[in-house]
Amino acid sequence: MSESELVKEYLPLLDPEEIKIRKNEYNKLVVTRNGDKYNNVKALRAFPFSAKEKYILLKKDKEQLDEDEKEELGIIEQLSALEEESRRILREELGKKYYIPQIKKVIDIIKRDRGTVWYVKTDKGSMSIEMTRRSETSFTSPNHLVLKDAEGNKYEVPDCRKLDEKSFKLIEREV
Amino acid sequence: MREFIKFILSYFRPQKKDEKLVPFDDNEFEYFLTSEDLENNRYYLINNFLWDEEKLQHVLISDLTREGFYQQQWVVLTDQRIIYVGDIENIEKDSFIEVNLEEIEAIEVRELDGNQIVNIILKDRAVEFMRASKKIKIPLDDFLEVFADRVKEIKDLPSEEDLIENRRAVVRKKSRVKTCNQCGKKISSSRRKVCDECMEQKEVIYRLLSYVKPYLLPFISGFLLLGVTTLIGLLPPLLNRTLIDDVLGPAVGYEYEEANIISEIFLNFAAPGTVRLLAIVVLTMLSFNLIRSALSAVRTYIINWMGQKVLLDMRNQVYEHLQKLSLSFFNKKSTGRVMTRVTSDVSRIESFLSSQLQRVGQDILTIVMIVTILFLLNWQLALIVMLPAPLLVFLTFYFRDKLHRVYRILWRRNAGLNGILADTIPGIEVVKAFNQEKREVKRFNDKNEEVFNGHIQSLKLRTLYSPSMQFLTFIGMILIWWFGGLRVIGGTLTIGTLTAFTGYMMRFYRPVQDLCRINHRFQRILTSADRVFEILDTNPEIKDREEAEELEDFQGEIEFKNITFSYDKGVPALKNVSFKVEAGEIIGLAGESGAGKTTLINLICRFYDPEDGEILIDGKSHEDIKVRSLRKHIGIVLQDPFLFSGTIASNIKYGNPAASRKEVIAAARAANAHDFIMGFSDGYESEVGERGVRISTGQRQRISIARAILKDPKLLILDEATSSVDTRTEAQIQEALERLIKGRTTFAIAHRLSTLRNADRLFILKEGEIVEQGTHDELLDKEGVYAKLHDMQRQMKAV
Repeated sequence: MSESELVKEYLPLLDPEEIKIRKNEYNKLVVTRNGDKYNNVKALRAFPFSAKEKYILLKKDKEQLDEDEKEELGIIEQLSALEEESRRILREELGKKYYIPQIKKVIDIIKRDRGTVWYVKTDKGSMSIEMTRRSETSFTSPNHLVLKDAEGNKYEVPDCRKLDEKSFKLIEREV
Repeated sequence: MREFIKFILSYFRPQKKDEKLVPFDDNEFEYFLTSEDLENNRYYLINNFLWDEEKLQHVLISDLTREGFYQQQWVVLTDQRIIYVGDIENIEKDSFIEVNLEEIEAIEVRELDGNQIVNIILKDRAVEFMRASKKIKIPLDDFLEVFADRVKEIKDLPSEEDLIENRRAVVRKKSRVKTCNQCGKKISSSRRKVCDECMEQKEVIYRLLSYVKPYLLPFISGFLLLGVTTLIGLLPPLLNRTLIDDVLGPAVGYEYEEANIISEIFLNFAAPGTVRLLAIVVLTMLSFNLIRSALSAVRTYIINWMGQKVLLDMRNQVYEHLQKLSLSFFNKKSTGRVMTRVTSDVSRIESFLSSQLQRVGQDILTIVMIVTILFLLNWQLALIVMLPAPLLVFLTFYFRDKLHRVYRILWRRNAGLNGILADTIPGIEVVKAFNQEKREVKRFNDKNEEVFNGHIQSLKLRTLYSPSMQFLTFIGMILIWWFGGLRVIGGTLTIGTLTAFTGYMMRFYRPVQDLCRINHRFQRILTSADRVFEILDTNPEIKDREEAEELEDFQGEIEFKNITFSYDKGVPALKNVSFKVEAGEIIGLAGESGAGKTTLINLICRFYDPEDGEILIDGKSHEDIKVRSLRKHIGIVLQDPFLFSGTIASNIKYGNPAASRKEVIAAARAANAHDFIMGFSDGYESEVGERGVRISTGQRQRISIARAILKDPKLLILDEATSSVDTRTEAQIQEALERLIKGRTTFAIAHRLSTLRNADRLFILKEGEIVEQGTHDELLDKEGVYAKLHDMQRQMKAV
């Protein structure tokens, strides 16, 4: 089985032309596909860090499923391929689902008795991140740093090399 | 009784270190004799029992009597006879066996635990001819080859005929006969390129230094700087002398009488006893110290830079070599030990090259310089200073040996303590279930007390050592003050010179002590180096032949032709296995554990090479195919798949790092892994590993199936899980596997009945042999081994 066959057989992508995404009065996603209407649809990213607008998974409402019906509605390969309104709504929804402030600058990292406190500037404003023993820092790709604090908040540095020198040095010392 | 006394006596005989078998070329024959025998010419004693017309062919020195006592035994092959002589100097009937070569029908070699017995089979009987430990396995094999050839020659048999029975165990593959790269001797352990003798200390050090070669400039400049700083460091006592004799002394009315070069230089600039001279001397001291500090800093930097560079090179080299080594190397060594070699052993070597070697240089230089200066100052006093030195050396050696012994014991006891912890903490459930807490606590307490006692012992030694050293140094001091003092009073010595003496003495004893301890440190380095070099000298057992080709368009056809293989010599894991598998065929492997299923798969993947027989891949011999190109076509799904730390996506992409996101998702979907992966909040970018998301065995299996699907191999190896998962997961895995198997030649170690039913053919293995072959139904009809296995499994299921 060659790779393209593999993709063809096992990755049925949604045709962006057929898809229309709106919001209902309860602020839930409503997806219309070829006339079929699905309420309370959930949108998930397959690669929440490295591909934010690609491979978006749409899931139907679990409670409205018929027997043997698949939960997955399908996968949208490119968010940008959707018609404008759908694109805006889906982007907004994903922004809510994945709240991951991007760290633009690290001001200081201070040692506390149970870990460290990071004072950072993000695209969502200045904040302090408390990293304890139960928090974790990980690289999803060589320069893509993800911080998860003990409460489950996530922050990311999409490319450590693009930070200013001081921030980079602070991070290098810590991670 | 005689044997027993001999045995006891053998312990008192001085053991010569070089008692190894060395080949000795005498144009006509090759002997295997110890060097001692060569020296004593004992081998000429063979002539005592040779017939007149008989010609000597080969001599083997064996090491066991036929009763099993460890003793030199002689086996002599002539053109007509083979003779066993127990004691060559005192030939007696019961230790002398001769067999005419013409009568010999076959030679049987019995590979036993720790020793081997050679039986000579005659027409009507067998003679238990000789016995040898495994130490001389290689010379024995060589001897038997010559022996067999000679018998064939005399009986006029074709040379292909195999006279040696159990030959498989005896005859090594030709490629495994190794000779030392340096001296050309045969090596008994096949893991090394260099023999033990050549690994001697000097060689090891020489080899270590070869790592410095690329950094010769920093290395040498480091040494030069060391010389300069050491020299400058030794100047202050001389300046002190000038200070006292020429500056302070004259100022308070003390008359100096001795003239010396240094004082003369200073006196060129100012008159004795003046402030000006004081200032000059003090400033000289200051500037010397400044220069010395600066130079030391530079030296420290250069040398450590070099050390780290060597460390970098060596570690990379070792790791790269490790990755090249065959699986058999890792099976024989524990993971932890291999890891320490890459980390601590290598860094110990680094510290030797960068600091300890320099230290030795510094010590030697200091001692030489101080001795020279002291003798120039006053040779009689110098002799007195040296007086305690021999005692100091002796005591240091004495204590060092004792301490070393105590430390070794202590180290072993500590290891024992750790052993208990490593045993009982992971096994705590068993301890509790069997109510053994008290016993375990007692066991621990006992060991702990042993450790305590060991520490006390070393403490006693250490507390004894340093005060006695201090006292000795003090004795030297007292001697100087007394004899030097007498001279000062007598007016033959200046106060300044006396001060200089005491100053040098303080600096003299420390390097002497250090040098005494260096040997011990050296030994540790050598062990470390030896361990590192052992890795580097191990050849990958599986290596591409030069003429090996790429396996481009692999169809998936595999054929085994009379394959025999064993992990340990003498215990075959596969015996004469032959089969042919067509492309696309699904083969189920079944049988009890230890029957050889995994071994078969290891051979297909070429983690090992068979001892005998041939594996054909698409009709080509596996030895003619590059290992890498073969493995490119093999996909493996193991029972308990290993995931590397990293994201799920990177784990799926492991066999095919260039795969796109699209392909990763598709593969995961084909493996029924997509749904649970999307259940993690980070999707495909969820971390796995110690700190990442928890992944169950069933999920791990599906990830590894996705990994295999993405690699898209022509040949698939499945090692089905024995552990059961819930039915839903089971069904999903089953479905995923079926997708994976489609269109690929598959070998599955199967436990699930469904897999077994789906297989085109089943191979039932028992004790290294394929005992049954056929489809599920055929084998059931046969009512053989498989039918029994099948029944058992059904009953289990029913329960």
